[in-house]
Amino acid sequence: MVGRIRNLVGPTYWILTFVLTVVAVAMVAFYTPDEKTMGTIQKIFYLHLPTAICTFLACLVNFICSIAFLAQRRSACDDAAAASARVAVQLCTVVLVTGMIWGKSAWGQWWTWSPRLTFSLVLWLLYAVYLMVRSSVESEQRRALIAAVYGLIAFLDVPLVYLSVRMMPDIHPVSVSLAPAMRWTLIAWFVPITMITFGLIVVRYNLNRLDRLGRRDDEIAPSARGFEVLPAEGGAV
Amino acid sequence: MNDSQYTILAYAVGLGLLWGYAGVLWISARRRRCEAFVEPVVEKVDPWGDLGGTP
Repeated sequence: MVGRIRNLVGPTYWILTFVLTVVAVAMVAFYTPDEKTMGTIQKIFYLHLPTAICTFLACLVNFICSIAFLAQRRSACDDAAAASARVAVQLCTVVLVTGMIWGKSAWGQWWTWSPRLTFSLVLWLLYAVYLMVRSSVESEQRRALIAAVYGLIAFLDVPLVYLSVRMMPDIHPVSVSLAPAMRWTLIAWFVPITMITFGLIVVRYNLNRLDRLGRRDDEIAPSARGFEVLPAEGGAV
Repeated sequence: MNDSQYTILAYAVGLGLLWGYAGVLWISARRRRCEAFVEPVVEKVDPWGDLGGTP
């Protein structure tokens, strides 16, 4: 299973993702019509929404891997959690930047402290701090444990981002009605953004595994399967 | 700036951040002679098989 996922992350996967991205851009430029009230600026929506959904997915992967680490104490879970957090920060940055550009054009200001925007910024900060916490703890075991607990808490902001616009007065649109061409364009954008998200997580995970292996001594004790745990406290970092 | 320019700016920045990050990872993988984009190499560096490679 792991081998199959790893095999997905090849040149073919990235070339296909790139081609689908180009197709999606072409659909925005030449196929989908302008929205009646907002005009051209609404087209940011096709990048903004899929990226936001994929941010939640990356946070969910981090949440699941954090639970898995606490349950099994396997370093692979910690590496996967770290990879998904990095990708979540990257995606959330795109969401915030595209949202700010949209806001500048639509509302006349780059930023407003509406509930959804605020919770989105908090989400970005939570996962950025997650990465800082990881880099500030030297012990591999302690780092993994702290990060896993922190990852569980950080995920609590995801439902807040989603529900805030529905439960509190907000300038951010709740839902939009789309013409068929707009709907197809949105679907066309979901595909490459989702592929980029999972591709980045898998590649980042592979690099994390290689980093960890590189840090270990060649004399690492052979262990039975199931004993694969983090190296001893104070081991090479 | 008009709406079209803001839209182009948003797509340029958004896709630049996503694909730029993919490029950074690709360079990292290449620099470490890891062929993570090309083929699984864990078997080569994981002699004990604790990552699922062949022991």
